[in-house]
Amino acid sequence: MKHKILFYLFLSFILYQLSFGQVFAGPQSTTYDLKAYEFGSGGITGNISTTYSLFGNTGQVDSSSLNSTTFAAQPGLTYLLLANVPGAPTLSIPANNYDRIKVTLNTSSNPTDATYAIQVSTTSDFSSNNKYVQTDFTLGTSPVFQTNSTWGSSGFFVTDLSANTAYYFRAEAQQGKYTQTGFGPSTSQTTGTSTLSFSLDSNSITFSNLNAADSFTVLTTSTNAYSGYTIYGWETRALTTPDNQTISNYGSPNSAPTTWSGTGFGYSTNDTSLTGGTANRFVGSKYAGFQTTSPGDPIADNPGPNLNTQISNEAFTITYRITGNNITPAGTYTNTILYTIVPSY
Amino acid sequence: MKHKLFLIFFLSFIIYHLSFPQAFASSESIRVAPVIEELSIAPGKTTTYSLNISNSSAQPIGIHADITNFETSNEDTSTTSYSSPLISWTSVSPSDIIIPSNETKSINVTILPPSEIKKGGYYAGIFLTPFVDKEKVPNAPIILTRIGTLILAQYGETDYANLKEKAQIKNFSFNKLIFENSPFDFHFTVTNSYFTHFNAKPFITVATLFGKSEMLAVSEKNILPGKSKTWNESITSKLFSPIYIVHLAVSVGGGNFITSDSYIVVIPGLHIILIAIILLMLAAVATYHKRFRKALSILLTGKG
Repeated sequence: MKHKILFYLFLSFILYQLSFGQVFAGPQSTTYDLKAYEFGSGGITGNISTTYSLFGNTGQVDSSSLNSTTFAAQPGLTYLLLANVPGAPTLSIPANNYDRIKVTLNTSSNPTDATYAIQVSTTSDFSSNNKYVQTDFTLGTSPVFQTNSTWGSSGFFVTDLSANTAYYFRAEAQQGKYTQTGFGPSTSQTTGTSTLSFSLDSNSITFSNLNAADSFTVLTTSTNAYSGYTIYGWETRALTTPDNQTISNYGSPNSAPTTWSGTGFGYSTNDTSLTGGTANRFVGSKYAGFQTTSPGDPIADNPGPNLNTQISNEAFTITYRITGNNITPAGTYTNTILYTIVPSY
Repeated sequence: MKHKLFLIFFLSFIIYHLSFPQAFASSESIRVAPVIEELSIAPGKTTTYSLNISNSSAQPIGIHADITNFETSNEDTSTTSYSSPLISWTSVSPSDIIIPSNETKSINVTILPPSEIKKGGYYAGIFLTPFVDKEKVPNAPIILTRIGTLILAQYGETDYANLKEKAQIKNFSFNKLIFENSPFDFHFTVTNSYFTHFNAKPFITVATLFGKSEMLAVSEKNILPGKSKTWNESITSKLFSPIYIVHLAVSVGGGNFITSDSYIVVIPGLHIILIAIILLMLAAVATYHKRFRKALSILLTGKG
């Protein structure tokens, strides 16, 4: 009998535990069970799956109140699930960029699923002309929240900015869907100015003899233009003596240069990746003749894009070659060759 | 001995002058800023900016400035040459300037449109031509340089939602059949029917049949009104799939995109060999294993 009573008691205890043991249990599914509602419980912060995301309470009232002999504070929301306020982002213009600024967010140790919106202004106190960085990294009117990895954890360029202008950046963060920090501290960066430097090694060609590669011009360029530059070459006329004897231009065009053969005055460029026409068409000492109309043909270029480094002292060599025929009279042959450089846009 | 030394010295002098006969030849180096100037203009109102020119050469350089049209490269729409009205609204002062060695001087650029102009983008170039110290009767070809700077003026605010309607992606296509691990060669054209220029920034997302995707970077281009630009690109995806779905989103600014989709079928290399081997093994088992053959027969015909 005693054993039976003990057995029933034990069975009742087991049934009680099974039936009411989780009297405070929250929502349940086959895969998860919310054990408690207290702040900080109910899941791991930042633990997100494709099917559920749980943060428990985003805040909790503390029923106790602070008081002294002279004051008493009302109970209030004392615990909050709130992302850390993001620190000032890091800004730079690594290629002396004039239309974009590189931004690296300061996450202030927030979890990886925290999202950030980035506000941009041309006023230091954000009193006017405020914009937000959009998903395409241009500026728009509405805030866009994305994770640091979506924005670009190693930095990203905010584009379509004005040159020579100070821009102030600050960020705000969200943790989950319900709480949002205020803006963090701001920092500023002034965009650069578009520049182009062009150097020529000599204002004339030296033809000490008519062998190939003895006569050349070196063109050197530096620029921060995003799409780089193109140098065009042309000549005012064929090589001509004071008594109007001429040496004709080499017959092959810039679009299809050839290995030197025959007679004429031609050029070659060591820009192996020159755009326009067939790719790498000047490789292997191929020559073409100059055009006699502006702007002429491309003889060197760099199409960019120049994001993290600017083009600095990029030198290309234009080599000239002349072969006269049996009836080319002796004399001093001259003309004017023009090299025009334009930033690509 | 003394005569010999003198002869050698004299010969060296002669050889030197034969090799470098251009005594007046000199190098030049010029720096210009800004080389691309984007600005807003208003009817009847003056807009100015300074063009700063630095002379890094060892000698003074004279510069002549003139205002001309400019055509951008890589434009696909052939246009008849037209004279931009911005040329007649723009003046430079001074148009000729001498810059001492290692100094910087400025040219003031003034733009004064008439009191009634249409909303739009207006474009011109300012070309700077250095003067050259040349002989009256040169004995060799002369080399001159010119530096082009761009003015992109706009009257009217850009409405990106409207711009989105006026921009279009055309001819977004790949080589539909490619071999596994080959780069994807593709091209597309973006046209601009809006009143002003914009910066087209493409984002390519390559997704596999199994849901994985990756975004690949493509460089951006500026497109003038009435013009189009074509991208001829090659990308390589690290993901493997027999079919890729490729989503092209081109930003026109302000978070606005125009989109187009395409697909690629990949001819597998190593994968198809593995699949063929597995199929052959299954066929061999089916042929030579009685119980397997019987099970297969039941499965296919429902009869034992």
